[in-house]
Amino acid sequence: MAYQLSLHKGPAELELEILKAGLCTVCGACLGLCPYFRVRKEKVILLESCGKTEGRCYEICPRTRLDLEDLNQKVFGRSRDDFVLGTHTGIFLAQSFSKKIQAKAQYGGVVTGLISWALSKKIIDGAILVGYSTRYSLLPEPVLALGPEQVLACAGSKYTSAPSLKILDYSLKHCKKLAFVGRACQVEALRKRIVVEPEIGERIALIVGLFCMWSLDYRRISEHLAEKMDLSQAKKFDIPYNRFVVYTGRGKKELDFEPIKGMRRATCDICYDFTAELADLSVGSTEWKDDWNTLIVRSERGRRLVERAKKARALRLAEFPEEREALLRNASLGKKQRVVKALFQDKTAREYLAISDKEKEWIANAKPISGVKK
Amino acid sequence: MNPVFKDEPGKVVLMMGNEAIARGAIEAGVDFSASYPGSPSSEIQETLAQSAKIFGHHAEWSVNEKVAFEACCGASFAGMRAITSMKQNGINVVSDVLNTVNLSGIKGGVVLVVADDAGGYSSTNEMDSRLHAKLAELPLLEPSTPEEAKEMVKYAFELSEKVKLPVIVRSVTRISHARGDVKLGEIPKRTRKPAMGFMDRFVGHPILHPILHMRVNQTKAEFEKSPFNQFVGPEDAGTVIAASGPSVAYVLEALHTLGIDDQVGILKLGTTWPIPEQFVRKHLSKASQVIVFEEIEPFLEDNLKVVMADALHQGVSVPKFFAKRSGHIKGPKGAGIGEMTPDIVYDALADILGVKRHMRSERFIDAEKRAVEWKLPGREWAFCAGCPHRASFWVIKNALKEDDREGVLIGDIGCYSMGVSKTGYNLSRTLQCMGAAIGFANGLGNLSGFHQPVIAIAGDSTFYHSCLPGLVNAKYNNAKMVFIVLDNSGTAMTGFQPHPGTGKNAVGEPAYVLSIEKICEGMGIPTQSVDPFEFDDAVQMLDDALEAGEIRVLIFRHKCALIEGRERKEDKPRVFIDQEICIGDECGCNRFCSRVFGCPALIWDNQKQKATIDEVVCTRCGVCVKICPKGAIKMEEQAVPKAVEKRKRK
Repeated sequence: MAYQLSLHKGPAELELEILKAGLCTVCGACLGLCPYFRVRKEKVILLESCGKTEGRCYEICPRTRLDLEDLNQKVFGRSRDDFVLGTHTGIFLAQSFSKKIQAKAQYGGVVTGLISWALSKKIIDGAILVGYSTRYSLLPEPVLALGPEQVLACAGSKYTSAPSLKILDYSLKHCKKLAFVGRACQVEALRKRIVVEPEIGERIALIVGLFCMWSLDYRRISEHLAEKMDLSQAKKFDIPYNRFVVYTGRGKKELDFEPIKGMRRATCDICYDFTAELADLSVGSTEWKDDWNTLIVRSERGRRLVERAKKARALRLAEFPEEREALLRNASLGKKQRVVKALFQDKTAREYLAISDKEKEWIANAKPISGVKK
Repeated sequence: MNPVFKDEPGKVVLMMGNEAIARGAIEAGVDFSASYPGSPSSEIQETLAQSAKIFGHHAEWSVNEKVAFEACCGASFAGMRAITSMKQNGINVVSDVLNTVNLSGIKGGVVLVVADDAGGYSSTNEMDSRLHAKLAELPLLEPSTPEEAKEMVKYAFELSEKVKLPVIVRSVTRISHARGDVKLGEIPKRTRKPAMGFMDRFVGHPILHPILHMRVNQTKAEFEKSPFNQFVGPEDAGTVIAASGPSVAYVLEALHTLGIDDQVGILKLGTTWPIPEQFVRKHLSKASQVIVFEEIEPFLEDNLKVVMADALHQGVSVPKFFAKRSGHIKGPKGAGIGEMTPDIVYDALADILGVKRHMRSERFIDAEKRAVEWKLPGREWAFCAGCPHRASFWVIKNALKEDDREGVLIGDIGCYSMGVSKTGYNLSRTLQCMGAAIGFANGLGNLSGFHQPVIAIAGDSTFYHSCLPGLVNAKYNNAKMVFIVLDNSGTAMTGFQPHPGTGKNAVGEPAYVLSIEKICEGMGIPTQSVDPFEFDDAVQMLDDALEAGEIRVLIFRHKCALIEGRERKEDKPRVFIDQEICIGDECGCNRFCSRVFGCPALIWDNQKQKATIDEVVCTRCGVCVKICPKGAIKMEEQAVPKAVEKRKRK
């Protein structure tokens, strides 16, 4: 099989430039490709080079050359028209109708509700989600959910980097209409994979991106928590508005967030994609109303699905207030400006991000929308 | 009945040197035998274990050579005759007690047979054990044929009782593993009754050193008239060839081929420590040149030189020595290295004596040339197909990589010694002696500023042999390491001898099973066991243990494929590769099974450019089913006999 490879590099370079350089996002894209990559506690390693001089692993990594304009064309059939939030047709406040889902899920339970409903309606026949490891406390683990019960078990945000694309190839063996839910880096990797292997794209029915400013390093956070508490008792943790709450069997415990902030992955600091701009739908918190989510509708198939879900009373939509959109834009712009500065002016990081000069300049000079406050 | 055990005095039986040694002990009426296996010595105790039921003597596989020898001494203290056998590494293990029991003396005859693996074909070292005899000042006998080996062992018991010292009989591979005619002697009835009298005390103390010297002199006097030392040839020969061990036969053959048998004197020495000075002086004093042939170090050469140097004061001229120290006698790797061979002896004699070489026939030269041209393919060291060690090293490789702290694997002795090479993914950093890994790990695991995790390994038999003190030390001194016991249910490398974990003893009777888990748990060490074929479980377990930062024991338990194959009665399902699914050397695999995992049964089909399985080699263990990224390696549901086995059954 001939793959559409353009970067002409392989595992040895991936190990040197990404894994050893601390730039791996633990998206998991390389893990399912071949038996040469391994992951443990959210650290990806190369067992040994396969000996090939070029391969898909390098090509699809979200931290190797990422041509957003090219991918935008391929995904949405048009140019990047919004440098801050990416191509989209609408932004909504959204929540699941189900109280059961809302109670278990993060905020409005949009992802859980939508995936669960899509499975029950056979719009999709499986979804790659993230649950928790039974072996290690708080370690997220990829799950191929085939029914609503499994979806519900995966409800709730995880704040470390689950390598859920690891199970992509395995899942494709079992599903013809697969949904994927993940972070922006994972959506990027998945889109790159589909460019290399277009036939995979035909079997992926939905890609849901999650808003993500950064994710924590599991090894560091679990070590930190182990010093503060009995880690085996910890069931999950949340980061509501710059606080850090751990839930145990006997209630919750709040920890100082400042030291924990420093445990985010360095690679997240060069991420340009807070809202998962290549997804069909992007979902995040509102940082405002706890029982609602922010929902960005991007692709045509995303739009149709949301429309159907709304009609079927699976999702409730509401208008997204203008000042909230301004805040969302400011958050995304702020991140992009920091990244552009780091990548193109300080040149401290690798130049993986291939955006047009026009976009670069626009971002560098854009001013946040004024007059809005949290 | 094994002809080795026949009670037919005078009958000539073809037997292996090691069998002849055992027969010698039987003809001496041996009461007790204990040993730890090691090539090239193992068949001695295997033979004695077989004969135990026939003649009523005790036979055991002991946990190590020191215990075996001490057990023999114990039997001797009660007046019984006892024999132990070992390879050269074994005598190092024994050497502590060897250097005290020489002072205390013994009562019943004690014979220590040490078989040196000259050339180190199946050892981690090459070593001349004879130096231990000199060090401990113990009598040393060197047989030059299987028959002489039998006679010497028989004599060694008498000598031992006469001088009250253990006697060392030194064999080498070409005595132990050669076969020769052996004339059977009488087998006496065992009549001794074990008892320790009030005066039977065996105390090692420096005050007894003069007594040891007295006993050495007594031995020397005995050796002066020993029939194991002979001189043949003209009494006034200008050239004398001195030889011991199998070199004697090589010398006779070379002289015959060169056609000079009657021109030189041959001094054949069978009692090489203490050296029979007068006998030696008598035969060397008339010679102008002496050529010495012996196996490994210039031991005999040096001792002869000392004797002749002393003779200077008696007005005797010292002959010129042509041997290893002068560089005249050396193998391809140098003097004092490797086995002595007929070719080395032949070439050295032709050169030193200036004799024209006997040309080989055209036919021989032609055949030799063709054989060389045939070019047998070079073969790597490799774990057998289905070997659990491959799975264990695979697990260790994965875990160390996943742990990502450049952890080190400290290796030990057994089949898994091959962990230093490609078949074990070059993981082992050390390969020394039995039980050394846990010792080394004690140092590495307690080194401040050393942040690389440490894994030490040992096999099940090695565990009992010499790992326990190291393990106690690690727990006591808090050395951080993971100690992995590769339990394949037998002493595989030396030929599947039973050990304390196998539930059987040397003579095939049921024995108490000493649980490795219970031993380690008894030391307070967290211990877990796992089947290394269960890759995911085993890797995670090892990773967890590495992260624990304290001593942990993991037992990787899976039966040796050879033992499993022997014991298995029923057929197994065939393992095969679905070449429709196999993606060969494409991105996503690139011959992962045949190139990286490396089981000898996983091979490359050059025509189809896909992997395939060599069904003759394959043991159908099925472990490779788990490593194929595409699921192309499959196991059939129905068990069927292997084609080769089917033929055999018909």
